[in-house]
Amino acid sequence: MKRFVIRLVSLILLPVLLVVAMCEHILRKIPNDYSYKNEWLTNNASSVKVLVLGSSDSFWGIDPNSFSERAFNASHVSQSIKYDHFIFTKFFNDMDSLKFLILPIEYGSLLGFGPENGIEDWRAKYYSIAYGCKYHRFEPKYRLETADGLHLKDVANSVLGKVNHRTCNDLGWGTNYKLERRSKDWEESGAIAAKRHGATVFDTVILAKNKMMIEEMIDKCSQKNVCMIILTIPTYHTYWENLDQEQVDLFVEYCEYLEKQYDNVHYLNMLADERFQTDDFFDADHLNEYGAEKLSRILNDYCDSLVFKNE
Amino acid sequence: MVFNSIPFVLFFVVVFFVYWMLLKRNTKAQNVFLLVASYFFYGYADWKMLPLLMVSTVVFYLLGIGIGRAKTEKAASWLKVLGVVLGVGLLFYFKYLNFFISSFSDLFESMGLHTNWHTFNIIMPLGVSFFTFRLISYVLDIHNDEIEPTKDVVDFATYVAFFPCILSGPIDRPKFINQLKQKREFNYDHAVDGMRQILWGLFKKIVVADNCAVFVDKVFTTYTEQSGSSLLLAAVFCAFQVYADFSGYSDMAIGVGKLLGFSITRNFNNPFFALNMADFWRRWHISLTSWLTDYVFTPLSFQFRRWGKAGMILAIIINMVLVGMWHGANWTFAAYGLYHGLLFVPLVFSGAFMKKTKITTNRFGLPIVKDVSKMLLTFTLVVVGLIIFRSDSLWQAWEYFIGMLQFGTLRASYRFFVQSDVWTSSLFSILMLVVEWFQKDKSHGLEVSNIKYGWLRYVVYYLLIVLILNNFGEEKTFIYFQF
Repeated sequence: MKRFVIRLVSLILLPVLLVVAMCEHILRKIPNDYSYKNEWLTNNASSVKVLVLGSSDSFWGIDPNSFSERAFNASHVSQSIKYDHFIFTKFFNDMDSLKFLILPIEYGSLLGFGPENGIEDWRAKYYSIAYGCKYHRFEPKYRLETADGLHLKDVANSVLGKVNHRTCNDLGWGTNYKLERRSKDWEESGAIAAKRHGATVFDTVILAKNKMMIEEMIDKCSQKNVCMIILTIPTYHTYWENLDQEQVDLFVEYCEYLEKQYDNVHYLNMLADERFQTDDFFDADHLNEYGAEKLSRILNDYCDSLVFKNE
Repeated sequence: MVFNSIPFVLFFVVVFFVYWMLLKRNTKAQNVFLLVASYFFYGYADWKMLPLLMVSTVVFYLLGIGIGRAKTEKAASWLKVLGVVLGVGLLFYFKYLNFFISSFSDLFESMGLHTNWHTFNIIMPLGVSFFTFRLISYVLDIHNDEIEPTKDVVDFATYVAFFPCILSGPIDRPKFINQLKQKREFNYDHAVDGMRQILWGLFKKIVVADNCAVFVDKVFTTYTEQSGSSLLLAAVFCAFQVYADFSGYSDMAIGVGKLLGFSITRNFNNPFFALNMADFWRRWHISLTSWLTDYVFTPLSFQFRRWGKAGMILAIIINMVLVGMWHGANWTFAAYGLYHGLLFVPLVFSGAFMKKTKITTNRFGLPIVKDVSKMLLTFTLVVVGLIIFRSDSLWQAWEYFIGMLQFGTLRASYRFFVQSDVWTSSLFSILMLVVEWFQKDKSHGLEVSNIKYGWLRYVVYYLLIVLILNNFGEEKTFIYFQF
């Protein structure tokens, strides 16, 4: 028995643990959007004047280069309000120059608490690994790169210096949703995406938590005279026509309520905005580079108009 | 708590050390501990059904005692019948009642007769198909004087709920209780072999089955949009997936049993090297097929013996339909069983049904061409059967077949194959087959005690571990858990 245990530990378990630890270390060194954005914000938070949060819609839809003020896009694919709140809280105290916080609230935002509950759940671990988030202290799945395999191909490429998972530009905008790469059946994806984004369960606890976090961000912004722009990003008609009206009303009414309730909150509902045409979309619920440029300019003009109004 | 999960590893480490270090001198205490661990394991998966398992165990324990003490054969027979009715009734209620209600209702509706029948909200207990078969065989074996009824309720309950086997088998026979009564000593070689078998099982499950599942699931859920070649390829991978998944689980269960000092029934014996369908069923899910052979086929063929070959075929078809239906309440499973039953017909007429087959190899240790062609034919028939098995309905199976036969253009897109890890799945499936071919006379694929150099054995272990860890992802449950 002793011999068995000693051999098992020394010849199998310890070498295996060593290999896993080595892979974990190497994988963590591979640059990605999360590590890049955390590093950028850690170094530049004090100079940011416009901060963009949100999920894939803003990741691909808002290009900070189009802003006249120094802007940064801190959104990530499938980022929920929970993680918007986390990133905001982590860096807000250092953001002495912040004037505008752009917080997208989309269909499904208020009833979602992901990305842990969907197919994008693998993303949740990067908030822990890159940003130091402690929401999942004791869950290896959300803390380790190797929790879903050793990823030996990435390990090998990393050792050879051939891998980089970063897909955003220097100011955090996702650049890979290009018109030329749009799939042929993109219009048909609208109904499927609408169904996927809709909440299957109306969870009042999650709704209350999300509202609480949004209002906490508004309060903090208010204390520093930061203007919060709540935005619903443009979508294609095959998407918004298939949304559940009850859930649309839920978030639109809430956003309108916030605008009325707080002086520093402005709501831009561009869900079915006619300024956005077929060639502005990558798929039914995401803009491409042309759409992103258009939206970013609109947002910049809106920010400028607010500054002008206040002056 | 599946074998390929962190919670199971933690659970088993505790069980292993308490079992061998604290309780090693006391067999009785070991058995009590095993029972508690087994109930914990079962309760962790499905605590609401734990009382059902406990109550049915006590009832069958008492039935066993009753049969053993019965003063007349008639009384013993009545108790045996009661046991069979209770066991089958349990299975019928939880697994088949809703199916039969809806099927008969649909039948009457199609005849223009309106019924007011409704199905019930019944949750099927995990492992019910496995533990009820253990319970039924216990009363039957006592009645047939195969075993003595055990007086120790702990031994019996541990046999029924033994955690390595409760959720997906193998279905051990009541003679297993004898192992529980014997004193168990830790045996280094036995334990090392158990670890090897677990490693091989993990390789089959995580590397082969879960990789194949990506492609197979994708194709079967979108089969109407797929090209004939994709459907054909998915059907072949489905065979590898089901085999690697289930035999991988069985290997792990047997390996865990070995670590605790038990010998658990072998469940698979390289079924893809079978030379005909009878040979295949002697190698596939052995614990189920031998159970049904002993308790269903043999009595039936005895009953039908005066009808000659026709009686034999009838017994086989009934037996095979039961094998199919055991898997679940769906007409696809009945059709799967019927299909396999019909494949036995030529074997009965040719006399090959009862004959033991032996693979002839050439001087390189590879099968001769004639045997390879027999293996390929058998494999093809198995693949066809698994399409019915895997489909949600008979209509889906039919559409799948039709789609698969449209060979006109090999429209399988290269991109789709690459995205779906088809190449990886092919490579690992072939690796599994090659290893199992050269290890076909061993109890499992990683029985490598004959490798002379210790370092070489470790190279093999490390390679497999790295492959397993590289493919390790989200815990994927085992296909046979649903049965």
